[in-house]
Amino acid sequence: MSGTALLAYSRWHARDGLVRALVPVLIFAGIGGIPIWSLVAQQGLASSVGPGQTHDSLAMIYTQTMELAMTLGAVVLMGGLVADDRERGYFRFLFAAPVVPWQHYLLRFVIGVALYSTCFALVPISFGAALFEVPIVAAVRAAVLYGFLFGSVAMLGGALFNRDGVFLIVVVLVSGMLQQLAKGGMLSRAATVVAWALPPVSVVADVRTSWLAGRPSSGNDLLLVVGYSLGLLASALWIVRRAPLAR
Amino acid sequence: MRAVEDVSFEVAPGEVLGIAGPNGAGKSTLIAMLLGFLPPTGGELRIHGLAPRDFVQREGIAYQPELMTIPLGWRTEEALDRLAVLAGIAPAERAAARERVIDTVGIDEHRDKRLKALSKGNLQRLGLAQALLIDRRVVVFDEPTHGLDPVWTNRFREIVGGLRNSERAIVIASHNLDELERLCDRVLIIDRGRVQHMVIVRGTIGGEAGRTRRWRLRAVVGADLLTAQFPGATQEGERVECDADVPALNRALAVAISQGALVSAVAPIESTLEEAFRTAVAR
Repeated sequence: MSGTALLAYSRWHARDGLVRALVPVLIFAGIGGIPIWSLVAQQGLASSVGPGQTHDSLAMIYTQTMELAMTLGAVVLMGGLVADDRERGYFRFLFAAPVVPWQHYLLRFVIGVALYSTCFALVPISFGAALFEVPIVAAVRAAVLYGFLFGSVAMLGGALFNRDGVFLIVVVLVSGMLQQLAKGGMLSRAATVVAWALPPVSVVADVRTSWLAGRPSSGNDLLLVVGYSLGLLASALWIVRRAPLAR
Repeated sequence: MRAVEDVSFEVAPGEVLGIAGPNGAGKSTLIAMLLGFLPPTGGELRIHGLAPRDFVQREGIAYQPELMTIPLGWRTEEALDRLAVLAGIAPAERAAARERVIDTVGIDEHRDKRLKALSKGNLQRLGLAQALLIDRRVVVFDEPTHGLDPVWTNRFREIVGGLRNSERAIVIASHNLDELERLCDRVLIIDRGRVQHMVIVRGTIGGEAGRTRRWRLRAVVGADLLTAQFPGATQEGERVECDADVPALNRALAVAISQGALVSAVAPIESTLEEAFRTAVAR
C-alpha cells in the first residue's frame, strides 16, 4: 500500500476513534461535571471561585476525575486496535487489499493516542473556561503517556491472543497492585522483581499525578514508561508482521 | 490438526478453477492460505512467483469472502469508499469506481443504509461489489452465490464471465456443483484436507462422449417411441430415463424424432462433476 493510500485511510481511523470515544467522553463528562456543577451551584458562580475551600474541592474533583478517566478511558479507547479486526474477521476485507498490516495498525495506534490525548486536552480547557485555570499541557502530556503505555499493552494482547480487553484489564490491575505492594516493601525479593518487570502502571500513575499537580516528574520514571511502551509496541507490531493473520 | 495436507495444484492466467468439497474439507483453509492469512506449515505456495502475503501486499487480490465480516455500522457507500482507499484506487477515480460497482451489483437503493439493515443477499452483493472495485490479476470467490436469489445467481455468472481474460486467474470455492460446472474450466475436489480429484469440466461432454451415462429425456409427443430405442429404459408419462453414450443417444433420438417423437428436454441425470464429487468424497 502506498504511503498516500495509507494516509488517506487515516481519516477513517480518526472517524472510528471519534465514534468510539463519544460514549466514554459523555460518561466522564457526567462523572466529573455533575459534582462540579453541584458544588458551584451551592457555593456561587464560577467567576467568584477564588482561593479557598471551594477552589480546593473543585481542584480535587478535577484531578480525581482526570485520574480515573485516564485509566478507564485508556482501557476503553486504546483497546480493540488489533483485536477487533482479528476477532470479528474484518481483516479478511482489509488485508486482501495491498495493505501492510503492521503499518495499518501502527497508523491506527498513533491516531488512537492522538485522539485520546485530544479528549484530555478538552477537559482542562473546558474546566479553565468555566472555573479556573488548570494545566492543559500537563494533562495532554499525561494522556499521551497513558495512551502510549495502555495502547501498547492492548496491541500486544490483540496480536498475541486476538483479544485485548481482558488482557489489558488483568495486566493493568495485577501490575498496579503488585507494584504498589512492592513500593511498600510487602513483597519478597523475587516477587518484587516480577512486579517491576510488569508494565510500569504505578510509575505512569505517579508521573501523571505529578504533572496534574503542576510538579515535575522523575526523568527516570518517564524514561521507563516510554521505553517500556516502545518495547511493547515494537513487539506487538513484530508479532502482527510475523504471525498468521487468521487463527 | 492439519486442515490441509498433500494439496498440489496450479492455476494459469486465463483460467477459472473451482474448489469443491463437503463442509470441513479444507476449502476455507486453502483460501486463507491463498490470501496469505495463514502460512502453510510445509510445502510451498506461490502467486506469480511470490509468497501469497508478499503478492497481496504488492498488488492485492480481489476477494469475496463467504461471510460479510465487515463492521455492520458502516453504510454501503462508506464501506465501498473505505475499501477503495485500501485498494489503492487514486482519489480522482474512487467515486467512479464506487458508482460502477454499485451499478453492476444493483445496490443503488441501499447506498445510504447501514450494513446491519441489509438482507443477506444484498450483503453478498456488496461483497461482490467491493471485489470488483479494481482490476486484479487474481480473483478469489468463496461461496459467492450463498444467499443470492436465482436472478442474482445468474447475474453473478455473467459477471464472472465478464472477468475472464487471458491475464486473470479466478478461483471459486463453492458447494454448488452446478455453479462450478457452469463457470469453471477445472474443479479441484478436496475432502479431509486432501485433493481427491481434479475434474476438467470445460468440454466434458465432448471429451467423454464414449462413456455411458444415465440421461433423462422428455417428449411431449411419442415418449414411448423414445423408450423403444433404449434397452432397459424406464418411462413415466412424458419422461424417459435411459443409459447411453453420446453417439448412441444421438442415433436413438434421431430415429425416435424421425418416427414422430417431439423431444423437449435431454439432460444427464448426474453431471460429470457431481459423479466425480460423489465418488471422491465417498472414498
